[in-house]
Amino acid sequence: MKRNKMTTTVLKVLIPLLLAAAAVLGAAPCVRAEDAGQAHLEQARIAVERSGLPKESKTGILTKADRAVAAGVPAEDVSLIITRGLEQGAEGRHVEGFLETAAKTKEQNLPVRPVLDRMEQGLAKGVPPEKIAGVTQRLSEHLAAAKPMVNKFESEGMRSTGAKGSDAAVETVARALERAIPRDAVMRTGEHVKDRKGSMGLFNRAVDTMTTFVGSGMTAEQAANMVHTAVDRGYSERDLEAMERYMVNELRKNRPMSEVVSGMNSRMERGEMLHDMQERPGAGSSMHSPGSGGGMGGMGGRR
Amino acid sequence: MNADRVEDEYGIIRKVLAGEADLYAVLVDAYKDLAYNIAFRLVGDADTAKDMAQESFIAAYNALGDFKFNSRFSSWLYRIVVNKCRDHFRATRETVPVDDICEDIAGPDRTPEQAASSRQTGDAVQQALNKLPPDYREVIILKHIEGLDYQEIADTLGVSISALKVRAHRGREMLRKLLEGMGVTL
Amino acid sequence: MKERNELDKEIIHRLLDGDLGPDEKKALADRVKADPVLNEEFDDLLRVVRAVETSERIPAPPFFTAAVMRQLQPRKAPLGMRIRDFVLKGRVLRWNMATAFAAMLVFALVVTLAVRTRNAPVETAMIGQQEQVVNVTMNLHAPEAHHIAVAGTFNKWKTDTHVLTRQENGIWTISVPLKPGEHSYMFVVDGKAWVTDPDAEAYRDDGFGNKNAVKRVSI
Repeated sequence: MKRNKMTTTVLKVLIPLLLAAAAVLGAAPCVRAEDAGQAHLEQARIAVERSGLPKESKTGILTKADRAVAAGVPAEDVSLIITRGLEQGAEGRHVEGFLETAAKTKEQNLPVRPVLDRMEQGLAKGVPPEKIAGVTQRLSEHLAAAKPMVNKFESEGMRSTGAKGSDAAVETVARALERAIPRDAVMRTGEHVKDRKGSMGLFNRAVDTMTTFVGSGMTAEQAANMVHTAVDRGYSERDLEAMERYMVNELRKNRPMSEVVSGMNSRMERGEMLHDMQERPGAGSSMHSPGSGGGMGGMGGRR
Repeated sequence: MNADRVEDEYGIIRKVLAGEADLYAVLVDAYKDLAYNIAFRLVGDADTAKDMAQESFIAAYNALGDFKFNSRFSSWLYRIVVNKCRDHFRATRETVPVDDICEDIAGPDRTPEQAASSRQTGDAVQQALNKLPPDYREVIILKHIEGLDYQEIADTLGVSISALKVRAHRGREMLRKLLEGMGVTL
Repeated sequence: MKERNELDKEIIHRLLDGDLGPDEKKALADRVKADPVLNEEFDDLLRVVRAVETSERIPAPPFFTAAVMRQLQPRKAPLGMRIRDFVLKGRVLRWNMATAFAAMLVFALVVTLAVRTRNAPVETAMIGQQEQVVNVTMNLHAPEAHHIAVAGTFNKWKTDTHVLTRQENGIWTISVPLKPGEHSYMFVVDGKAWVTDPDAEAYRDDGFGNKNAVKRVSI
């Protein structure tokens, strides 16, 4: 009896497995990137045709799509923005606007990934299309402002790991500007990094950390001071990441930001490298007296 | 709380002790509101209460080996929460001499209408509770919010029943005067 | 008079303590009825206690359990016990021609796949370059949810490609292969609620007023 049951179970698992494997092997095409791109655009075209948009809108979208692809925006993203936009009920002019912003960004030789990501994210999250349009338009403008700033440091000798490295820095600076961090604070950060002979990667991390600090509640001045001090003290990218984690953990304990800031500053003053200081039990807790928990021995228990 | 539920709890605790740490989440889920509520009523502010409640669960987990399977997990947890909050009072020197509190009670500086219109009774109760000395506050909360009987409270706080009753009586009187002083009509 | 008043108040408190017998309760009721001052005291105290007893139970804040669980040190059964269980556990292997044949087929399939993958062209639509990836685990404690997915920069914020599995204890989990670098993400609960991972190591504004969680991946 047991034997039969065992066989049946094994077969029940194996046969579907075999069938699925056969289907996968048989059907999975090894497509070349170009063919894939065409497939995406075709998908988008069908979605547009099927939509209830007026004829001019449809033509407008497809034209803008061609322009974006021609400028170098990946077809997959173009298709995704169109299909997702239509699914979310965006009007034709909004979808056209997205594609135009993407195209323009790419045409100006700016990193387009952040813009595309922002659009895809906003559409997925159901953000109103007008808001997405405004936010991404401004992001594109911030990218345009960020690029010469990064170029300046590169030309002054800040080492970067090629195009990817400086693109990342441009994106990070743009996000800092988006958070209303003054240009000046960003430029000073670059100066501090240069003084330490730091790389573009360090500059990227420093600006990113500054932006995160501001996003979590520090003033721009507090954030800038902290990051500049860290850079001056020779903190590495990993150390800056550790500072961010430390702040996140302290805030999770509901410490007020002022306390977190002074805690971090005094640690830096003591020369403690934060990336060795992963959260230890009791580390940084000043509000609660030690040795608490008397009477934990259960009913009638004694310690 | 019936016998089956207690048995289930014991089962879970034993499994956690044997290494299935993830199961502790079941206990946390079951009692998080209770722990948070007591902590909040005791300390009066949401952020500290969250800290206290979370730390209590962590402390309970770390001391789980000491749990005697002759009572409810909730009773054990009550004790830990109350002790954590007491430590907090000591650390922040919250204990105010009784005389000072009595002075605080007298003389409303707003009309009853103003008071009634600007806060709900619930908030007023918490504000009044915040002004009680911690030992009075503890008894009032455990007796009148958590609904424990004096024996359970005595076991939780490690205080005699007669002492508890004295604290309850004085606590109630003080609450009444505080609420009156705040101009709150119940 | 004052003494009498104090005594009466004491009896009211004993009533509130649940310590009065039926006769004493009746006696108190009679005195309260007869004495307006006592009546007022009685009413007041009763109202205060009722107000306290009926005050709202405040629920614990969201992600409370996840925050607690995150801070626990893992507990292991004693090592000796685990080894003993592993070694001494009875295992049965049964087979027949059908299962043996099926096993052979699976083996052959695996070998074929392995050979084919090695020879596959470098470009595929999804992964692009043959880049190293790191498997990253993401968890969310949400016992009341019915469906959870994760959307992020790594999948262009699609809400249906990376679905979490629910474990017994109400913790949902998924392992996502991520390339080195930074990845922003959020959980999507029951298809509609976008939830920030409370246990992330870092956060980033998404530009629309939400906070994305950030995973930093390095080889």
